[in-house]
This record gives sequence, structure tokens and C-alpha cells, in this order.
Amino acid sequence: MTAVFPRRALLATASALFALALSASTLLAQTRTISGHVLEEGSRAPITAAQLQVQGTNLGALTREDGRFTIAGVASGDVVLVVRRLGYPLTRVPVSATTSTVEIVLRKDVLNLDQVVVTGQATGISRRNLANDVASVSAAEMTKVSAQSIENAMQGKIAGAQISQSTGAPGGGNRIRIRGISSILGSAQPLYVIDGVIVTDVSVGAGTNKVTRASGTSISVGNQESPVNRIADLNPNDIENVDVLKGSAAAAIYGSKASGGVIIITTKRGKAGKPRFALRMGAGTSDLAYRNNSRHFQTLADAVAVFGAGITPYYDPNRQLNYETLAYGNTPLNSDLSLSVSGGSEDTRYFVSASRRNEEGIVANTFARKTNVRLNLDQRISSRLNLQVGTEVLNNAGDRGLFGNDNAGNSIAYALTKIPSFLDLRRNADGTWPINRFYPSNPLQTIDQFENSENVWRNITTSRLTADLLTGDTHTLQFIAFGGVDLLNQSNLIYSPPTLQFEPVDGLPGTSANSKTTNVQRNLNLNMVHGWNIGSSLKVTSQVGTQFEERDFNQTRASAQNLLGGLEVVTSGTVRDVDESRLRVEDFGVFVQSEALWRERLLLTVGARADRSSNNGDPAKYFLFPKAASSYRFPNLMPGVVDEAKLRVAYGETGNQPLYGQKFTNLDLSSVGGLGAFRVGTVRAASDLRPERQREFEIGTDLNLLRNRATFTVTGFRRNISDLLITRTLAPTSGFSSETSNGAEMQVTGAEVSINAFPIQTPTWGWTSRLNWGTNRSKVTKLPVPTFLLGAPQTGAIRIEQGKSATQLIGNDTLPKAGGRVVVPVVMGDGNPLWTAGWGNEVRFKGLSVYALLDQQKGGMLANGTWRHYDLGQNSIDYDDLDALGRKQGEVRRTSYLQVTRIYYQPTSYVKLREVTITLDLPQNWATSVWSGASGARLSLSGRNLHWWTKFRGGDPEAQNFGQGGVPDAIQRNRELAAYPASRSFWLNFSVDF
Amino acid sequence: MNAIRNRRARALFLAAVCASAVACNAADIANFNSPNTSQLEGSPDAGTVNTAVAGVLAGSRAGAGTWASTLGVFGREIINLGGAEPRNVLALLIGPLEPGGFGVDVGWTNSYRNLRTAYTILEVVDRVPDYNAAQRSAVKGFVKTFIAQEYVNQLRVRDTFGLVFDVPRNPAELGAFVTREEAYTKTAALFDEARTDLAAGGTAFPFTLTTGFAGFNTPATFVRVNRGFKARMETYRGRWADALTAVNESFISTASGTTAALNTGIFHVYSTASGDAVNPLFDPTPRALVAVPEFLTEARTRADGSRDLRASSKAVVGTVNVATQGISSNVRPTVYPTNVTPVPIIRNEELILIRAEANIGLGNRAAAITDLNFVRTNAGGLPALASDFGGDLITELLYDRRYSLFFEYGHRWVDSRRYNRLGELRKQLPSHRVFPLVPIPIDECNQRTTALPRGCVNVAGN
Repeated sequence: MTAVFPRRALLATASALFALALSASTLLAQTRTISGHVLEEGSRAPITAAQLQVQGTNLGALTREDGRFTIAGVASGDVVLVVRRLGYPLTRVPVSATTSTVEIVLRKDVLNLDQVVVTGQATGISRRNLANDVASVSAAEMTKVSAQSIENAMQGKIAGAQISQSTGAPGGGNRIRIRGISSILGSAQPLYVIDGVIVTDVSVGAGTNKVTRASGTSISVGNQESPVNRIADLNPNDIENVDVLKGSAAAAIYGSKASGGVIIITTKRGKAGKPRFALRMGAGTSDLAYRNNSRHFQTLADAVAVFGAGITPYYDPNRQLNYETLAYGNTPLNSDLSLSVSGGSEDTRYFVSASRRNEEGIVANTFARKTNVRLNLDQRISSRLNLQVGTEVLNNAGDRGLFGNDNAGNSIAYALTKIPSFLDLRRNADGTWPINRFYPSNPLQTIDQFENSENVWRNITTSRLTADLLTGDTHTLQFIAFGGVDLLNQSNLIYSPPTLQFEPVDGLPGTSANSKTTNVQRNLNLNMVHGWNIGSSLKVTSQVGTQFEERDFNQTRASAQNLLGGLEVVTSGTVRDVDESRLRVEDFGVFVQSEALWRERLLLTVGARADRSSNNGDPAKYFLFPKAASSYRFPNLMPGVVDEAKLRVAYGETGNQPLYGQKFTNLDLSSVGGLGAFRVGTVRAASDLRPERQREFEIGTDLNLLRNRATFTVTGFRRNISDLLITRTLAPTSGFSSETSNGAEMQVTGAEVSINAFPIQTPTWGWTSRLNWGTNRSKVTKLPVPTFLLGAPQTGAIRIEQGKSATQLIGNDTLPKAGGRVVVPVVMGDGNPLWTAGWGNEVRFKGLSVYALLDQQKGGMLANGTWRHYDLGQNSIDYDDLDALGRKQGEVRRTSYLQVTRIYYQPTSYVKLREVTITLDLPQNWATSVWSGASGARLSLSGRNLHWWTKFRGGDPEAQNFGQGGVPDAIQRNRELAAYPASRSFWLNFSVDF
Repeated sequence: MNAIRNRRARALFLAAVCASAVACNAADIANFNSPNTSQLEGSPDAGTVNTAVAGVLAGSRAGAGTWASTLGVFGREIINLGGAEPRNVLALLIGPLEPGGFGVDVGWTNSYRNLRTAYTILEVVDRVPDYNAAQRSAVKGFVKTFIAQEYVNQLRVRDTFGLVFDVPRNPAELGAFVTREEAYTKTAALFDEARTDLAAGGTAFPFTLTTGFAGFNTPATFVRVNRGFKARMETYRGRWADALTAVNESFISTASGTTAALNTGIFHVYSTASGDAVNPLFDPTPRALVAVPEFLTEARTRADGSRDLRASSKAVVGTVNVATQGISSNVRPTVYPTNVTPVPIIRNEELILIRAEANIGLGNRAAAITDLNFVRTNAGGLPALASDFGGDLITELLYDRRYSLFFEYGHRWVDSRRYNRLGELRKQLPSHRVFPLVPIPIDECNQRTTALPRGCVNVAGN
């Protein structure tokens, strides 16, 4: 029985093939050849690698280096040539029966209207018809200024995406929140997909907790160790395009993994032609962007009041050291090099790139060094079979110093808040370090000797096989299989040598922690895509597909204290600790979709995905995520003013899986005096956990204005999120701290606007301007448990409360009450910004262009920890300034903050000058005169985060201590504390193509 | 030709079937990182239950650091001057103590977590197939003793605010708050139940105990620990006759006055083995934990003019002066010289002082003076009180308890409250406060908004 089906299918395919071959051979007798060239409008420069196809046939060609092409075997009658080239609109050129030579002039598609945007698991549709608001960032925009991580390169460029850098440490560490918060407990980070393969953005803590004791005594507490989220490993130079599927309406194709949005990265691929090289070289430096400064102790009495009588011999009223300059004053020499080559024949095309980015930190001995090598290969196996493979090997190494929260007195930024400016802790002439008698550590010594090294090896391999099973005029059938592997191998070594001042404090000098992490992610997608042209005006594309994904995460950590001989190796310690954690998830999904396009005007899409995951309470149960969308274009609405208008409406559902292990109530393992011990765990699980479900309704309009010189896009959305996972706090007297279950509901409403314009475009002058703006509000609409707090009111807490914003920040205030005053938790503000906006402008005069990007956030709030600690150390710069009542301000703040925490809750409105680039295109003849092989060269000067305007005190309003990339990411991101300070970076770049 | 195509087609088809085969088998992936509570349900084997009994010990030990340090700060035995956590001064010395504030949990969560494990054992112990009847009884007696002990731990902290006695089987249900008096009554009954169970517990426990239980690791010997706990509890509620009865059934001994004899008892033990814990009170430099300076200066002098041996052996003037927020101390506690030094749970020296206290309460001054003298001459090297000493014996008792039991269990604060002498605790700065008791933590209060426990209030202190 099994054999019958394939035999039949084969028979059908074979007969179709035969018929096709027959028709081809009968036509052979009456064919002709069309040749010509493809040029760009205005400059009349040849366009290479444009794809030409005789409409309704398989005949086609690619333009060569000089823009010329030849197509043989064309039928003798009138035909239509379809010309496709990235960056230019799809163009149809009628060629009459008598014409054999054509000149095709394409106009550059600055507005990306013909870019194909992903709408199905294996299909896409041109932006012109798209029914969702999908933001795209092109290669050129991604690489304006050298960035640590691709998220940094996207800051300020996507309407409705809030991208914040948690730490200034080299190597990155960012959070993205697209269209507001989408989860309370689950992950809120978007899903990353590279060339169809889901890749990991995991954040793995380094293991500094063994030293800082930020939370407990375990080796690592990931979310307080400011880890790198691993998407930072990617090389922005290899990226052709980034599409951001913001909401469920667009992201439903990724089902239960997509409620945080999906970021789809397409890498560059080879173009036919002789090898073309691109070399980019950059050199740069960075410096400290913000100083807190510290108190000037005017008198010895002031110093004694803080540090006790023991301070007397150290006091010098004339010595005022700036510890931020001493600690963060390293002047790094950074470099960013990349070389790529692409080329090939029509059948085999390749893209190879290698890059190395080396960034040192403003803190000595910190750095990030990333090396990437990528090979993308496209092979046409036969006229019906295409294979694309891509593989990237990368190494990302770094050292991030010792920053963030700590309870042992050794975090560098933390220690700085406690050191008076008169105390001299600089290295002694004999190379030793002075002991800080007034705090457990000398941060300058920590910078010099503490090692927090990280080394990542990673391989991402993607492949895609396309088989054209049927290529008729009416019916086409494609089998598309794609999948790949993301293999991540991370090592972390913490080495805190016995010579460090804080090391002998616990009687165990020297700490070493060695961690190894592997994460393997695999996925395989199989799809059948059917195209059906019904007459000339209706085209229906249908697909059915499956997706299988598995994730394996394995982590072992070993630490040692009391290092004999001061060796790094864990076996040299007398007190050792080991730790292992594992994770495995298997997901399977089935996807069906049908998309109908009528007269290139009306688009209708319906689809659904059914998902199953081992993380759900019932691993065999499928959860259905439907979607539907429609758009209608009005071409030539008011020619010259509104050239085209589109109305669109879309609905979709996505999910957010429970996390691994959330469905179990643990028996915690420990040991007491050598006896193994079980304790009932603190978190009680609900066994029927299921994915959170987000239902989003999106409506919008896209306008092409002023002779296609501008686009205007406005989108409104509302998402209702149900089955939200909540860890309900249980009464501690139940013996459990909390219980995880589905049940809460939340609504997020928002709007986005983006405007792209190129008002001036002449050979001499050019001006492009891109503006985006986004806003959203959340509201908890159903909370089946009592109102609860996440965090502590003194240092920054969120209150989840029905009818209120899910990001309201709670602090303490003291209110009058009969018979006295009472300390009560009150709302301080909202952690979510009112709106975010980005505005980028590029002005070109001949070969010289100036580009600047402003990134703005209005509103939002952060509980400021660094400043608080300056106050608590009685060491803040304005400590002695008197308030209206004649009291020392700092003293008032310090002594009242537990009861009135409002002072440290600060609005985070800011405007940042994110990117600036001045580029000079070196004249072509100059470039070729220097080296005949060169086809173009550019020189540029650029900077990132050069300046910001904010009333936030204490550093960077983007910084935060908790929850980076992790859980509960959505909620705990509103607490800043002793982060690696933010820096400004400057670059000088030279690039040449040959 | 056709055959080849057929084979290819078959291979392709098989590949497709294989690929979709993953769809047929839903993966039920286990929890790799931890066993689940389901293993402790139904009829678990003896090994699992024995391991859970060790979990009760681990839970009890997890609170030990809190009693000595947090209650030690409240009772001005020690102060925590660690610069990295200023709230140890701001919240614990200045206050007010607020339900949602820093340091208010004082073991509440851990105590009830331990009760959850302990009650789970009691629930299943009768169904463990490989225990005999005596072993079941022994397990019950041991576990009930530690359950009662957790109630005592929290009654010391919450005092008149009371506590929740019943831990409902369903965690979603709330156990009722009971008054301090009712809690004491029920706890006393539980100690007695445990004694009955231990008496029927045969000759040996089915589980292994740590070295901290040396000498008290059989039902017959452990029952004397149970009586010691009971005696301590009875002094807390002033039932002197019951205290005296219980203490005399405990392992109290005045046969020898050596340090070893006074230290006979049970201890929390620590180790540096992976997964185990080290003594949280160990702070050699010190970084944060210092004794109040008056611990040395208020110690009485011996005949040769030197200080009470209990002061000089438990704290020294160190080289490091720890200072923060206007207060400082250079007195370093030496009670825990290593990170694996055991912490006493109850020991003979305290039992003798309990007997003295019970006798004072009953008016047996001579008997009380004998016991006080036994402790102060042997442990402190101090001159004995005259047998007809006519002064305030409570003052003498509290002095001995302060120095004999320094930095062990937060005794001084509890004792000062019991005898209304909190006012005698020295505040380092005028802004500092002494708190008589600790509010109920906010997480508890938030679950009970309809009938707010009386402990859900700020405690301003005096």
C-alpha cells in the first residue's frame, strides 16, 4: 500500500515532465534570442546580477558584470520579461515579436516597496502588498557605525521596538521589547531566525556570584551577572536584511514561540560574476560617557563621622582623586576589520566573509574580541532543484570585569560609591596595592587582577532545498525543505587571585569558577507550496508545512576557594563546589496557509499553526494559532500627491511556551554534614501548564507620497494576552513561596508611525530622512490571584494589579495617618516609556555625506541604585548641599530612603545621539589611479552614543541590573545598580571594493 | 530506468515518513535537574523518606544563621556593619520594621518550608513498605520534635503576633493564625506526642544522623533532647514547674564542669563538601559581623582582674575597625573560628541555666544559685555567688545567659523581652531603636487582606 502513493505521484510528475519536455521540443523549432542590458535610472550604471525571466516560462538569465544578458530559446511571439533585482522594483518589460535587443532602465527602490517580506513559513510577499507592519533594516543601515551587537545597530531604527543596553561592558548585553511587554514571567525576548533557522539568544551567567554573593552562594546567578545575550555573536557585516515581525498578526507563523516578536535575519548571498571583494577597516576608541563624581570631604570631622577615627591618618583635604577617571579612564584602541568576496556562475554562487572586531573597554583588562567566518553557497543542481547552504564559524571572547549587584563589597562600580576622594588607593611604587581599610576591596586592584573571561565558539549552519515539482502556467508546486543547526559552546572562567584584598575575608583566599555550557538547537522545516494562477488576475499561494525543533542545553560549573599556590585550576582549591543543569525541549508544529492576491491589489491570507511542546503540561496536546490578514491597494490614487495607498487589517495569535521545568514541583537536593537531603521545593507547579496566548489585531495604512519620494505608514494594534503565566506568591505558611500557573490576562494597545522620505535626490544633492515613532500601554485585565509585588519597594518593585499597567513601579512613601505617619507602598510611575522615537537623516553633497540618528525615549522610570549607594556611602557629590530646611541633602536622602523611596525613582526620558557618520566617497578615478583594481573607496568618521540629554542621574538610563534576556525579563528590568559604565565610541573607517 | 526512479521515490517517501515520525511521538521529557515531589508521594521507600528526614535537618540548619545574626542584632549581641548592604543598619537598627521591609522574614519562609517537608513525611511514613512499626514511630518522634522546634523558632521572633499552626495539605488553603498562648499549648502537646512516639521507637533510628547528634542518635537518647527543647519552651511561657520537670528529664548534667561537658548537646554541622553549607556566621576578618563593643567592657572581672572567661574566649579586640553610617566596632567574635565550626542547637550549659531559671521562678533560690554558680565558675572563671545571695537573681541569670550563650541562638533579645528589659539594651546612636518583636512578612499579609493578621503592622521600636 505504501508503495502505491509514491508510484502514482511519480507517474504524475513524470508525465508532467514529459509533457513539458514535449512542449519545449515542439517550440524549439520557432525560437529566437533576446539580448540587452539593464541600467540604473539617472546614473546609467550597469546593474549586475539582475534576474530576468520570460514570463510564464522557466527561461531566464542573470545580467553579467556589464549589465548585459542574453536569453536564448524564447518563443517567437510577443513576450514579457520579468526583471528582478534586490533594491529595485519588480519590473515587467513587454518585448514584441520583432524586437531582439532591449534596454531596461530600473529606478532604484529607495523605499523598498518590492522587497519580499516573510509571510508564511516558506513564502513571502512583496512589501507593496503586505498586510502587516513589518519593519526592515537593510545592510546599509545596519552598518552605519560599528556596533557591538546587531541589536545596537537596530537601536532607534524600528518603530515600536524598545532596545536598551543593560551594561556598557564590551561585548554587548541588550534587551529588546517589541510593542511593549508580552509576558509577566515568561521570556519577552524576540525569537531570532537566521536564513530560516531558529538560533539561540540565550544569556549564560559567568559565575561571578561565587565572588559577589549578589544572591545566595551558588556559583552563578545568571540574571545578576550582566551576561551577553548571545545574538551578539553575529556579525552585522554579513547581514543583508533584518525583518522584524512585531506582533502576533505577522508572527503567527512561528506559533507558540513568537509572542515576543520575531527577528528574521537574512544573510548576504553571492551574485554571479567575477569575484567582487569588499574590504572594510575601522579603528576607534571610546571614553566614559557619564561621571557621578563624589563628595568633597571639607573637614576631617566630616570624614570621621563617616569612617570613624581610623580615617585620620588617611585624610588630606587637598587630595581629591576622581575614582571614575582612575577606574574607567582606559583609552582603548579598537578595531573592526572585514573582508568579503562574492561571485560565481549562474549555477554556483558564493559569498565568503571574514571579520574580526576587537574592542577594549574603558576599564582596563576588559575587552570583547569577535572573529567570524561565513560561507554561503548557492547551487543550482538542475533547472528544478536549488540548494542553498550557509555556515558560519565564530569565536567571541571577552572579559567583562566585576560589576553589578554584590553583597561582599567587591563589585567595582559598587566599591567606587564607597571610596572618599581623599583616600589614595593607587598602586604603590613597589607594585603592591594599598589596602582599603574602609571597605572590603580596592577597586583599582580588582580591575588589575580580577579575571572574568568568556570564550564562545559557535557554528550556525543553515540549508535550504527548493524543488520545483511543477512549473506550469496555472499550477506551480514547490517542495521547500530548510533547516539547520546552531551549536554554541561557551566557557567562562572566573579567577579571583588570593592577592586581592577581598579574597581572604572569608578565610578562603582565592576563588576560581570554571563553567562550560553547550547549547544545541536544531530545526527542520518541510513545506509544500502550491501556486495557482486563476486567469490573469487571481493568484493563490497555498502551503502546508511542518516544523520540528529541539533544544539541548547543558551546563556544568565547578568552583574552588582557598586556591593553593594561587592556581586558576579548580583542583587547586580546598573548598570546591560543582553544579550542573540541563534542559531539553522538543517542539513540533504543523502550518497551513493560503494567500490570494487579486490583480495585485487585494490580498487575503488565512492560515493556522498547531504547536506541541514538551514544555507544556501535556506534551502531546496541540495548541492552535490561527491568523488572517487582508490588504487593498489603491494605485494612482492622487498621482503626484498620493501615488498609492494601502489599507490593511490583520489578526493573528501566537504563544509563549512555559519554561523548561516549570511544570514540575521539585524536591531540592542538598547535603547536610555528608547526608543527602531532600527538601520540598519552594515553587509549586501546576501540571496543566500551557502556552501563553496572544491575540493581536492590527490595522493600518501605507501611503506612497509625492511621486514615490516618501512613504507614510501608520499602524494601530491591540493585543489581548491570556493564559499568562504567573507565579502567584503563596502564603509562606503554606510551605511554598509561589505557584506557577496560567490565568492572568493583559491587554496592550499601541500605535506606530514611520515615515521614509528622500525629498532631494539629484546627482549633486541627496537627502534621506527616516522617522519612526511608537507607543503602547499595557493593562492587566484579569488577575485570578491577589495583587502581588515583584521586587522590594525600597529598591524597585513592580506591582501586578488588576486594571493597572503591568509595569507600574512601586516604592515606599510616608503618609500622615491618625496618630503618626505610616510607610506605605505607592505607585512611583511606570517603567514603560510613553513613547519611543528615532529620527535618522542623511545629507549628501556629491561624494560627501553626513548621517545622524537621534533616538528618543519619553517617560519610563528606573529605580536608581548607583546614586543611592553613593548616598549610603555618604559619598555623593551633593551630599553636603543644604536643602530648604538647612539640612544636608544627602543625609536626608540616606536616612529617609527606606520610608520615602521616591527620590531614587527617576524618569528615564532621554534623547541620544545614537549614530553619526561622515562619509567621503573617494573619486573613482582617484581610487583606480592608486590601484587599478579598485572600483570604489570610502573614508568615514563615525561615532556611537556620542551624547545624550537626560535628567536621569547616575549614568545611563538604559542600564539595569536584573533579568537581562532572562526571566522575569519583562518585569525586573527597572532596577539600575552599579553597571559597567556606558561609553561613547569613535571610529575612523576606510572601505574599498575591488 | 523506471525501477531506479521507483527506488528513489521509495527512499524519498521513507525519508518523509521518518521526518514526520517525530510528529507521532510526543516527547515527554523529564526534569533532568531535580527529582519531583511525586517521589515522596504514595508509598515511597525508606531511602527516600530517610533522605527527606535529612532534609528536615537541612531546613532546620538553614535557619540557624538567622537566629544568631538577625536576633543577635536585635538583642545587641552583634551588629552587621557590612558596607555592601547598608540596610543591616538602616532597617535592623533604625527601622521601623515593616512587613515588606528588609530583614523581616527572619526565617518565616524557611521555617514553614521545613514544616511542609516534615508534614509530608508524617503523611507518608505509615505507608513506607520497608519500615517496621518501631521505625515508623521513631521517624514520627524525630520529625515531630523538629516540627515543634520550628514553631518555637518563630514564636521567639513574632511573640504576641502569634503564628499559623496548621499547615494545610492543599497549599492554596490558608492556615489560621493562632495566638501566642494557643501556639505554645499546641507546641507543648506536640513535644509530648513526639516523646511518646520516640518511646515506641525501638533501639535505633532507621535514618542516619549527622555527627552533630553524637550521643543523641537513638530514640532513647534523642528523647532527652526533646525534653530539653520542651524545657526551653516552658521557660518562654513561664510555666516553671513544667520547665523543671522537662529539664530534669533532659540530658542536663553537672557531673563535670569542663568545657566539653558544658558543650554536650546537639549541633548543626557544616562542611565544605559540594552541595553542603558552610557556617554562615564565620567572618574572620571581619567584613561585616562584629560584636557590640560593650560585650567586652561589660563583662565582669575575675579575681585576678581579668574579664569573664566567656567574654575573652568569645570575642577579641581585632585589628580591623569596621565602620559604617556613624557606628563602628573592632570587637571580633571568635565563637566560630572556622567555616565548619558547628552551631549549637541546644547544649548542657543552657539546660543548667534553664533549671536555674525554673527554680528562680518557683522561688527555689538556693537551687538556682547552685546552678548559676556551676556555670559562672566553670565557664566564666568568676567568683561564685554567696549561697545566701539576696540580690536580683534575674539580673544574675540574664548576665550568665548573655555570656554563656553569646551569638548562638539570639538568646539575649528573647530574654530581655521576656523580662521586660529591652530598655537595657544599649543603642549605639540616638536614632537607633530596639524592637520588641517582628512583624509578619508582607507575602503572608498580602494573602490575608480580608482578615489581616495583627502582626501586619510596622514596629517602630523604642
